[in-house]
Amino acid sequence: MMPEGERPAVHHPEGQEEEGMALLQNERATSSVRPEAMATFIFGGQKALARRLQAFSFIEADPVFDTSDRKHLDQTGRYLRSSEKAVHLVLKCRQLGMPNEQMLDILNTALDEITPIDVHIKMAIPTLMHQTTPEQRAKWLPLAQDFRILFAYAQSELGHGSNIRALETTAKYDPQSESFILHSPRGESAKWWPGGLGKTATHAVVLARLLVGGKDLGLQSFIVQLRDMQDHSPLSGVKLGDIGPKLGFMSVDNGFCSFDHLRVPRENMLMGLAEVTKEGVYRKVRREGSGGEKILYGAMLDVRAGLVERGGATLARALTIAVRYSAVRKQGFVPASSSSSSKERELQVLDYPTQQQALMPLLAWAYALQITGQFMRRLYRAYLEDLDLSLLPEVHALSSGLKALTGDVVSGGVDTCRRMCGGHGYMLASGLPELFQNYTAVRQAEREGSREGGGNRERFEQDTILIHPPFLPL
Amino acid sequence: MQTFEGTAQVLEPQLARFILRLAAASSVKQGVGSNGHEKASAEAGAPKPSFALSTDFDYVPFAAGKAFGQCPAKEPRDLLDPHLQIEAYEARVCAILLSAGEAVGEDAKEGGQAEAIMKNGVLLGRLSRAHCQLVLLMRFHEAVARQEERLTGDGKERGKEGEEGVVTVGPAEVRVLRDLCHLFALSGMERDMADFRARDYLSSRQAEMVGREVGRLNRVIRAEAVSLVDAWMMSDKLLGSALGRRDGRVYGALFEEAFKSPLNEREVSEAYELHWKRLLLAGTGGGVARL
Repeated sequence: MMPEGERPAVHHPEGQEEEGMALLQNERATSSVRPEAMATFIFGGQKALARRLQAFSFIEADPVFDTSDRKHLDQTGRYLRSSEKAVHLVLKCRQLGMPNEQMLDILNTALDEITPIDVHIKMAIPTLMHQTTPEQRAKWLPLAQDFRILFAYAQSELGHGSNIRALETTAKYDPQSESFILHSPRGESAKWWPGGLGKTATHAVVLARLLVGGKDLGLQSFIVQLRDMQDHSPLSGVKLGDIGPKLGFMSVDNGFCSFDHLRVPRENMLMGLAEVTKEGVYRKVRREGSGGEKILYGAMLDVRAGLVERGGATLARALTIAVRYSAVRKQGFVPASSSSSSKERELQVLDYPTQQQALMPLLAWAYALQITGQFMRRLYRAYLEDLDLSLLPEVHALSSGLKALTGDVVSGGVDTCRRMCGGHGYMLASGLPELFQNYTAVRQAEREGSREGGGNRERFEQDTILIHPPFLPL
Repeated sequence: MQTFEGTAQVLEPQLARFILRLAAASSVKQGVGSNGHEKASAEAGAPKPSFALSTDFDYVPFAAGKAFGQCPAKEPRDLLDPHLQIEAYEARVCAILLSAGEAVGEDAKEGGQAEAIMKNGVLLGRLSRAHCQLVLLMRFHEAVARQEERLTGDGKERGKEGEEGVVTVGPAEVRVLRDLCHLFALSGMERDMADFRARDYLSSRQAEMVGREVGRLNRVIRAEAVSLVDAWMMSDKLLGSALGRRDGRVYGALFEEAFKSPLNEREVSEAYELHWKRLLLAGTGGGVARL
């Protein structure tokens, strides 16, 4: 071992000056934009900006929510930490008497972690609100809202994902026992992918084909208990587990689940839109005047607006890293002949037209997405005020296209940012791989319409209800 | 489950089908105006079509006409006209809509509408993306125009810190936003130039002009880029990035992160005892500490 003084000075102590620091300060000094003024434009006013920053400081002040350990954790470690964060967030907000709406806002914008109960909060609870009878709501909603039971939303199967009409899980009504018999006919009929299904959820909303008296009546949703409420072990008739490591989304136990003739009480079918009587008579139900259907449409608009905004913010986050680093990083020299002084000047990477061509248009995209997302949200608020349904088909169509385009541009854009950071962008310490993985995965949170869709109104409604459980404040 | 596969097969056709239905419902036959005036006068003369409620789909009736105009831009400066940009984006959707309508119509004669839609999925994806980019461009322009009007209309002082300490964008920020919007428009044209060249809406000379103007705008935005990302107010904690630190102390931060690598917990890794030693010390009776 070398004496202390002879050790090479590899460790830059905190606070040591680097040339890049001055370069970045110079960029700021020569810019005509005041970031704090521009921020009010981006986030729709000073109040909205303050709310946003408050949510972030709530998270950043608490060491439980720290994210710096993530890059060294394996799948189990990630799941344990995200579980800890979710439970801590719920209990802390409860202790502070914080409205659920605010908690949801923090979960969405500031937590920066996809948790095993995201699906419970964002999909299962709205489903329980809007596809149930008043009796079902009274029974299940308080349990779910108080987190005494945790739901997964089990739609996708191993063999079929988006094409929901090809799903194979069956729910056969047995009038003798007044129950449904839930069954997975073959291996590929197993539910596969649902977030939280593997190890977290105690219950699931399961989409299955309803069979009554030998007739296939199409998809219905069923509340199914999966685990024992005392010791959390899987119930008999339920085979349950985690689907394994993924490119991203490691903080969530995406699961599989297959059913072997599992009995589910008749009352557990979600009967807000259709019902099966004790005697085994199936009929559609029209619950007029509740306004639930309209709220459902509006909620979908809100989800889609959020997707566009989040796309903009994700892209901006990757660009914050790539643009700052491109200003700090130097590479290549200005040819001595073109330089006025005899000394060669080293270029900032940001000075290269190729770097600009990759990053500057993406910066424009981030702003465009944010502006459009905010516009959609204003449309949603206006809609909530007068509930005018006539705009919905076109807004629905537009939002489908925007969702697809946003996903495409942003996941591609984040990866472009990584590549534009050269070798160091490949380090997890750049923050870019994590961002890319999670954005690619987060796009899976909202489900698709069926492949054929179609012009007819009824189908549009069915698709919307089945596939787009709304995202409402709890 | 949204996957890229799901995106291509499900979402984009939803919007494309909607646009095709609008086109079918539209009985107005018009050509895309060479400079927007024809269109404007047609709009003023005829009542607003009833098939779509927002103005986002106003171009649809014009796709029904086959007389395709040409982009009027003569010099680079002309490209910085929002109306010209929007018209170019409309012309682009119209060109794809015409192709898609023809292709789906032809195929539907043989295999029916559903199959025709499926068969033309690639074209419908382009149609959907083209429409969305038009909408994004219009929203961007509207948002910037609102700020421009606010600054010129109610007096320029409003842009400065107001009476109650309200911070809003001023003339400098709005100018940059305007350039950013131009860059959005023109870089999008450059990227999908084949779409804009379709039916010769843009000439090859104009296409070159677009490319040069994108280069110029890139340089303009480059000078503001650090402030434009700072404006998103992303904290170092959120970024979790040695490269993106606010203070620019990149290299020191990378070293600090390296020291956190689990492999650095021990000076000599257990891999040495388990494996490397067998190789390195093979056949020697203990070896020397230094070569």
